[in-house]
Amino acid sequence: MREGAAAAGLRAENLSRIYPSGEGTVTALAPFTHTFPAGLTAVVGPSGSGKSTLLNLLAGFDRPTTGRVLVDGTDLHALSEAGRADFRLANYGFVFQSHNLVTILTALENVEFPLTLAGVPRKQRRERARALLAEVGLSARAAHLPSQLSGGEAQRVAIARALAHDPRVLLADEPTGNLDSHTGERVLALLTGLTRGGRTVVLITHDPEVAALADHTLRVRDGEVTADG
Amino acid sequence: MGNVNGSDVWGLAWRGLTRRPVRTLLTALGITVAVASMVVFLSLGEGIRKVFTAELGGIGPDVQVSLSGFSQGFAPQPNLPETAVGDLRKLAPELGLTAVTPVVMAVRGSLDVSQSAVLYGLPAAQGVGAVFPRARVASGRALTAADEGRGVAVIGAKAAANLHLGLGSALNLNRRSRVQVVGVLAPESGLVDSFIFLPIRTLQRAEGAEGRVSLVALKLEDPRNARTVARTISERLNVEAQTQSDFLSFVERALRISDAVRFGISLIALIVGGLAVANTVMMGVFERTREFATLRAIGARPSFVRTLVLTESLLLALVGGVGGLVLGLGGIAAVNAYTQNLAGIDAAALTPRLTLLALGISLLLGLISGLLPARSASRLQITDALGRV
Repeated sequence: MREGAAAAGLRAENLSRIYPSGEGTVTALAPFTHTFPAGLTAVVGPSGSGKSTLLNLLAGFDRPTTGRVLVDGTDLHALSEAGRADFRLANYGFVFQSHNLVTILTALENVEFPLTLAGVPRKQRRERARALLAEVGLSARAAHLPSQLSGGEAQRVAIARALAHDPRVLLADEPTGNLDSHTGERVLALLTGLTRGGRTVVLITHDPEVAALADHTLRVRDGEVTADG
Repeated sequence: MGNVNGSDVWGLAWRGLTRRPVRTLLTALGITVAVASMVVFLSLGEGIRKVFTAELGGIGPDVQVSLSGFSQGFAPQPNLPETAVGDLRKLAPELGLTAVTPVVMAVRGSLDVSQSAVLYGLPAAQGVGAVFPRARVASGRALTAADEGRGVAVIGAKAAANLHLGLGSALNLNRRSRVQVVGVLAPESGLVDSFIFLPIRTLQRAEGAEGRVSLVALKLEDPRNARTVARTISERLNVEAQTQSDFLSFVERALRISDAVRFGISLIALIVGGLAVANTVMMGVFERTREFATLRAIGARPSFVRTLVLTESLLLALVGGVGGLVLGLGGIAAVNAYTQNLAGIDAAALTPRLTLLALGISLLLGLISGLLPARSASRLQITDALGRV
């Protein structure tokens, strides 16, 4: 992978999310403050503990009840909807549990899609996408549609897509959740390699074995977040 | 929309439409049929405009005098006292009239349109050329002064073909009157082809209109004075005197009204086509909720998603619109084949303005149909949509 990404300085300050429920409220995420260091941070916890809520807030998909998310000093939630989209395009990469590739685009076109959104000229973005597909070992599958790829291949294409614009923060939500153990290991090896160069990778998982590969661990239980060591 | 290249958006929209080719094709066909019906309906007005401008405008009288103008339509009742002809002849030197031709018109109607014809009575001595100078006899002979009041007729080429008449054939004008064909005109590709020319006294008698005419056709020394001459005649003789341009503007007014009626009929098909586009695009949006959420997650602005969906809708309508024009051309050709056979004219025409109108309406349809789905797609919540399978 390219190793030019500098430390992002991803920080959550007094971040919480409380949903109204009937006449009361449900605390999906209790207020917490944390600076995500460069390297791989695993967010672990059982289903329904608040892991995805945390990721949604860090990504700017959902608005916090209190607090803010800072990336290099920029308050993500102070931006407009379009501003947050632009900010994500410039600074974030995403890998979802399901690959979420665009079904009508080939593997190559999927990888270059963030660059298409950024207005990068076709020739330039094609070169970058080919290089990334080569790095995830899928050069031969460049012209294939997602429906023609295996689960593991599609997820590797999704990782290549997440890296297209060399993001400073990579957020991964259960990226091996739908894969068999062998394919999952290969995807994890790719993800752990992405931390080189000071990139911040936040990996949501409920699998202790996956969490064991991380440099840092956050534990979430009933909306309470605690950091290990 | 951000920095996305326009051609990339069009490319993506096209790929989005071809994802479900059968559904897209069927929807485009809906638009195609709607636009084609509009094109054929409105092309009738365009064709008739052309016919009247090129044929009647070029060869009709400079000024036409009648009792009630064009309000009675193309073939007015013979209700103008024939004394008006004498009054007009007296004014001829003063007004520069070179020909004063009384005309009686009647329509020989039939349930079968091809069996209908316009009966055109004029002084046999003046002949058909007094009003239609381009008319030429192809077989038989022209009307002569000796024919006045006799049961003879010279008929247009199309009338001869449709009514199966030839030289020497007998033609019933009504139950009491019968005439014999003495001449057939050469085809002119105009309305004259469907006319049956008779001596004026013969037609007056057949119609029970002795002493009355439908109109008086005037030729002027200088046709540029037509408006002034028409005004003078109207004031002095208490009749309606109208010029070619009055006639053409009357035709234009009538066509505009009929355009509105025909467009109204087409509108129903267009609305149905528009609803089909809206339905297809909305279904596409619903099916791709997760995909749109992914695009938004990785950095697409809401405006990009909105533009993409609107572009799909526009593209779908445009494809349907172009298809409609092609199908419409086929329809126009069929209409013209029929009217050529019937009356020797092209009643329908696809003009540049009709082409632009059809494409414009298609795009408008696409735009309106795409607004709601585009809005819906751009406003989806990423967290909700990503959770949907």
